[in-house]
Amino acid sequence: MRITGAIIGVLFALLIMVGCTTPHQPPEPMTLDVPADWPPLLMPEENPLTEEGVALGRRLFYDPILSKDSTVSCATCHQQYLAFTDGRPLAVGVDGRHGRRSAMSLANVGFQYRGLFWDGRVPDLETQSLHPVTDPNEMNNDWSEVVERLRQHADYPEFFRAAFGDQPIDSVHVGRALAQFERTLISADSRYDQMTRGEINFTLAEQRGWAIFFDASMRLPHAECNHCHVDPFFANPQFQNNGLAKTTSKSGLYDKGRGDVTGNQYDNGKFKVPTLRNIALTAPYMHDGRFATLEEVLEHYDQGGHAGINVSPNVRPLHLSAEDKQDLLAFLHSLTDSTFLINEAYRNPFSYE
Amino acid sequence: MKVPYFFILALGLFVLSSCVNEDEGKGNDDASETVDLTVTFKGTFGDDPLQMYEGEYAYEDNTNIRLQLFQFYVSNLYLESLEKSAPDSMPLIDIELVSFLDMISMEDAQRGVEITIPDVPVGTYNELYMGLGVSPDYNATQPGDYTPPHPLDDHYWSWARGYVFAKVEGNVDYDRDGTYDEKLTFHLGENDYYRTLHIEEPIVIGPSNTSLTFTVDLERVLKDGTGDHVDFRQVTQDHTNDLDLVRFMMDNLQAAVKLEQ
Repeated sequence: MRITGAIIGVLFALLIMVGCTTPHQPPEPMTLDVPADWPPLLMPEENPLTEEGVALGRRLFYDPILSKDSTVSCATCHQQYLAFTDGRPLAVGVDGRHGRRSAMSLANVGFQYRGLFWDGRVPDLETQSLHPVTDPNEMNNDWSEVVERLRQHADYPEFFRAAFGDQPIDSVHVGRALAQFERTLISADSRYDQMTRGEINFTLAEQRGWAIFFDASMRLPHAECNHCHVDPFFANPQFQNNGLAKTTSKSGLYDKGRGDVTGNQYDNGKFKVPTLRNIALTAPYMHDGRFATLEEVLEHYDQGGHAGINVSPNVRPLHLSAEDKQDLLAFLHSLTDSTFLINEAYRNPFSYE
Repeated sequence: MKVPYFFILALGLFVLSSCVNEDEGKGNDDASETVDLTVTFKGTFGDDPLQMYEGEYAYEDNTNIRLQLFQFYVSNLYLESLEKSAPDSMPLIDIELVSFLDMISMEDAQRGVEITIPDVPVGTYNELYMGLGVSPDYNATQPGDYTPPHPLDDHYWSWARGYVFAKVEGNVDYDRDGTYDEKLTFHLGENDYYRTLHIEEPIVIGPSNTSLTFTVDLERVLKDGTGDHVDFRQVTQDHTNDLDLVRFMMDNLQAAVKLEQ
């Protein structure tokens, strides 16, 4: 009888052990459809793209659980139908607090390097995605609170386990999941893309605007756009002063931008060159949303901006005619990618539940 | 006439031995010792160190200029040797962007742009070759072919299918009154204007000779040796539209790069 009891006990213990050590299914690697002539997507070795990681990142992106009062999510400022911007001059966080800069588009953000945010203060998406959580003007939370909420949540522990195995739920893995989702936000199907793939022809206005944008014809005016807004992303990894501020003093700017990060006075007033993809949808414009329309933006560049010791020499009076501006606008509208705006893989997952 | 067998054998041995000797002398024993070589490019404007923003330089026609950017690509920089003490050919730089963008303080400007090349065999080299611009092979590629950061991940004209070999950007003060009146942007490219520099002089690389320093005189890029110059009252911008101007500046760049010994 004692032996039988012992055997049953051992078997029971083994059963429990087997149950506890059910091997974790490794996450499924995910590959993205990146156009052949684009550079490779930048991905750190320690955070490869997986189906489960992206799914978790997508949930976190849309979940206000990250904010102090559970009212603000990443998607509050990065809305898909606005190419992941928010339509406001300055981002708005918890308690209606305003940030000091506008929300940047996330289209093709996974290809960006040499710094993210308008001032380039973080090196990669894994780090970038952590900042809004603790920013008082955005989510105003602290990580111990966020992590506790996620650990106590009915679903998140399983989602984290699926994405990252037995690694802890912490800020690092929240950042990694968000970064994975953000890397999937690829916009590559605008009319411009379709034209370069030979699928459509540009209208005459788009064609003329293209040549003006790229300074590609001696018979047309040069708008100097392409020095900074380099295809295929219509951005570049540089920081530029585009002559927005009236001051010529190196220290008299309200927002020093890149200068606040580097401490270099000649970086004051410089900001990251943003993407122009989907630009027709991402008003208002500039780091502080000062221009309500693209027409105002073109007017600024046509005038040549304000003088300043570090204003880009490529920002200079352009002498564009009304027709030139209309054609430039036509070209800029050709950068709108409507499939990006309705891609179900990017939509709020909670709206389906 | 019958050739004696031993004579053929002796001739064969002689030929063989001479071949073996030459091979041994070219980079086997001697080249086994290497050093890390620092290739430095120091920008100047005439005799002055070239400082972005801070430097104000007197130019032609009673004008002053300030710079914000001077950069150019270097392709296929290599050394050649006829000596036994070094390899026949030693590649140093395949493609690199030499940018003076961050040369703002006097200290930065005097230090220059440094590129370290590991494991360069010691020895005496006789010749140096350097391409100025993006070599035609690389100029047939595009930024999408490279994983950033890479020298060729930017500075590309997609509409022209080619890289911008060199950029000069700044401002000009037409009457030296302290007000900078016009902006200057010169972007040069196209295969026809790729230039090769050939320097023929002994270059010793060894434990006490671990640097190779070039000066690049921007003033010389803007002026040729005869007094002809880029007239900023006439032209303040070019994107490789005026090919005579591009040829003038790229030829001048070729003359502006000097090896410091």
